[in-house]
Amino acid sequence: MNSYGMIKTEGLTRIFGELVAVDHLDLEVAEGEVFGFLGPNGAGKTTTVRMLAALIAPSAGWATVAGYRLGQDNQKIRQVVGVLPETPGLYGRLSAYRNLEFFARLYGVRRPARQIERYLRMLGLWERRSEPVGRFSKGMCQKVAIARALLHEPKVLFLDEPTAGLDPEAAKLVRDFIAELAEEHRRTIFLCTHNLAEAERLCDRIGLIKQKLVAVGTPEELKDELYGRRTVVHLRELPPELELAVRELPFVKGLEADGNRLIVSLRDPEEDNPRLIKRLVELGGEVLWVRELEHTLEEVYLELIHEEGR
Amino acid sequence: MSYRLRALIRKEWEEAFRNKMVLLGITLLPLFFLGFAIYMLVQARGLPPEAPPEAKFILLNQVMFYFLLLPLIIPLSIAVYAIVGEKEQKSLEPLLATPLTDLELFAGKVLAAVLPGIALSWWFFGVFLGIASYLVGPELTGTVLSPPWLLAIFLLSPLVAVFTVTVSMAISSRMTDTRAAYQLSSFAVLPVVIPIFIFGLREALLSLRLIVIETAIVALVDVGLLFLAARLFQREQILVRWK
Repeated sequence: MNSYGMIKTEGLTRIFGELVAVDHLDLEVAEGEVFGFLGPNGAGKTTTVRMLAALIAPSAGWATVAGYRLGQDNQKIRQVVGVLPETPGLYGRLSAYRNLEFFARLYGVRRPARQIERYLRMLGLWERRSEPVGRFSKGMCQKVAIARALLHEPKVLFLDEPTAGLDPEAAKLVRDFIAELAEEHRRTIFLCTHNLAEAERLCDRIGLIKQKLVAVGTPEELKDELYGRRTVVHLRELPPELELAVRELPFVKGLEADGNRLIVSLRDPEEDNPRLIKRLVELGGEVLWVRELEHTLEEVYLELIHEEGR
Repeated sequence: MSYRLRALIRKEWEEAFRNKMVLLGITLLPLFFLGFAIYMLVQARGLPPEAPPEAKFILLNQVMFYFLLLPLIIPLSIAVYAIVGEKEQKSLEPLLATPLTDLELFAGKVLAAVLPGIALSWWFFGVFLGIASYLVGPELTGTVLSPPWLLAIFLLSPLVAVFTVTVSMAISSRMTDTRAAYQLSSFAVLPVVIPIFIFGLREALLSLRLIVIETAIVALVDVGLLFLAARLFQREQILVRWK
């Protein structure tokens, strides 16, 4: 498997009647990567997951998942992917154990009892394995659904809003579990979420979709691409001549003054920050403190999605 | 039978037989019919000595018509729940995400409803015959089991069960409420037994000719329905078109 080859799409498109749900999606996800897939409601996230999990056929384009070609090897794709849909979809009258045993048999799991016990213990549900899941809380149902997606040791996991509707404790447990899956077990995880903080924390790279792929990159790359890296320097005073002198420095790309603050765009912050501070001091400025201007993923998301909407 | 198909059928039965509505559907009316039939047999036994011997024979024959309704009633609630139940629990998508093929899904749902439908129909009928044998005598009971009845019970009944299941699954694919699906399906499957009942009201004995014609028609209809219903059971159809 190539380092970028666990999921690969080219021109992946899905049309429902006149509605273009997914429009020429080009994407690559590496083995062991946690890829966040973000977008507003109706952006095409669930449709994309359904195509990649070989549940519905694309209208155009192609994709490979774990080396198998979509459309030709659908059965094999379903064998190697695990899916956690938005709602757990468990059989309420059956126990947690029986729910998992049923799916273990559908996936042809070799030692179902061992796998079921392993994941139920991992998720803290072993003691309640015999209870009908209809009596479980939402968080517990979500954990059983996660176990269901993992039983057959899939190469790729599609998780659709895994922490939606969970209380903070349950959400943290699920997030920690996802992080563990990625770090220790090297699973490839395709994570659809509205929770930007969660995406920033868990994901190696993020793709923003609004029918089309708007942007893709690490959270830092997305922020840099949109806003650049900027340094904020707080001075005791900022006389106009000091501001002018800084603006004329050759390594300064752009400058904003805000009261006693200078917000400076530099070509290469690691190289230019020391030179900037040294020059400010030489020019008589009293530097109180220096920091990098940080943007949140939320700002990036809103900016990019709104740009796409214009 | 593939291991996936076996697993699906087992799961269907586990779920269905823990559902009170399904349990009522497969026991209440059949028990009522059985009770009514036994009551009629008791009445037959109480016929005056001067009554013609054929009278008991005709009465027994008439009562047995009700058992032709069992392969309609018993699989119906299992089949409806097999589809609408999955929708209510939102369990279709995770099921479709497994390596279960479309054909296995369809076959599993059909067999899970048809097999208990046939088995229980035959069981109730067997219980009735046992009691009838005691009440009106084994000779008379044996006489009633003529070729038309044997054909009706062992060939027509399973075909009626298949008809019931495929029609009710097709209807249920467009519905989201179990009760509504059940009621609509009940109306939709009645036509298959109407000819027999009309005949039964007019004639005392079951006609072999009628049963042969009915069996052939239902068999042909079943083949067509199975083909059409299987086309409904494709992943994309289920996810995109089913309500």
